[in-house]
Amino acid sequence: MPRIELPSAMRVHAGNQRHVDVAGDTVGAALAAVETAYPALRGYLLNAAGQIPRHVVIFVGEQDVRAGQGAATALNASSVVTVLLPVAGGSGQAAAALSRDEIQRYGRQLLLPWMTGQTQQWLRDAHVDVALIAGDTAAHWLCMYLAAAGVGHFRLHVANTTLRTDADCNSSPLFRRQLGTVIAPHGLLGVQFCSAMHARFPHCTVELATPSGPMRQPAPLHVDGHGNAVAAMAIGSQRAAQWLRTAATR
Amino acid sequence: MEPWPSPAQVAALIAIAQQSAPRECCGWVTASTVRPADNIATQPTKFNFAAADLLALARATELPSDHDDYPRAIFHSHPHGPGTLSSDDLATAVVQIPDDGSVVTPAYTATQLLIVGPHWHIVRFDFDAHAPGYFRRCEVPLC
Repeated sequence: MPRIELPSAMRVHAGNQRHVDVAGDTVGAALAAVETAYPALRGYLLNAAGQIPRHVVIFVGEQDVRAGQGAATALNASSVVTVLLPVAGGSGQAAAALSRDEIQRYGRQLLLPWMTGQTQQWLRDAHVDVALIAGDTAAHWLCMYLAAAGVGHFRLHVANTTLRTDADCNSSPLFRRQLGTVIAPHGLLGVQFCSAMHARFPHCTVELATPSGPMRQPAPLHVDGHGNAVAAMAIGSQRAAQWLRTAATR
Repeated sequence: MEPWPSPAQVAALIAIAQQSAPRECCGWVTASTVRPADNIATQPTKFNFAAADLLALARATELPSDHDDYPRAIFHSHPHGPGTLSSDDLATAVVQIPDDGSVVTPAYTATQLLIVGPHWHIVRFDFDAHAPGYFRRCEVPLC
């Protein structure tokens, strides 16, 4: 008679036997005979349709019957049928697209309780519109913070360089709609700013928008240093951190 | 008494996980060796032993428990965390027959080793029928 070798976790329900010998000319018939002899195993070796369920793997000799005829696989008197349980699982975290370099680059940030690989991937794929204006250093700091945090794509809108005062900024429709309001270091605009960003964050893409190019999103992040560079840096870092935290918990 | 897994096994496990990343790795650990298995899962954040490795694992579990090739733990990695066994991990780590949970046994080994990235370290989980999820986290860091 064919011999059915049971996994150790099932043996307690089969009289603690390592294997049982049952009649049957197919795998399905032999497993059905085991279930008849040991009713506690009913439903675990064959499903209601008489097929091998997904939670077990059946070998006849060295052959995985899933690759052949399954429960209809023919047996002879000397066949040995081995019942196996799968070993499977996984984190389910969808951040596998992060490269090794990215994991190394953002490793410390990924330790934060509200950061996950998935969030890091989301930041990497995010596009941020940034408006630049001459006269202050907030642009430099804010973009550095966002790029260092992992934001992957920047589009720079170089505003009219005559907009140098808070009143000018506040009155500009551009700044009421933008994703990030930043002010570039004096004399560091446009192409120069792009070059500086590329040099420091080569993994980011930085592009210049056309002068009249529209912003892509309304602004969840607004930084206003009121002309004071230190204040702009402090507010910028705080707002950037809040924005990132919000993004991370979406 | 020699520590288990040994420092050499810990180093080997982390090397395997790093080489597999961003895919998860899997296999089993004996008294003195590490035996990787082919991961046939199609998703990078899943693992699934290849059938041939499953057969080899099952046959190794039939050896005397003091045999050098006897599997002491099954391992897999979470390259992006978390540092706990997922519900998918637990689903195949134990067998509940009948379904009411009155009889719960570990599927192959009573110990699971989880290699956690991106800051690679190993967490040990031991079977405990009374613990939530049926596994108790070992508080002693391995590396």
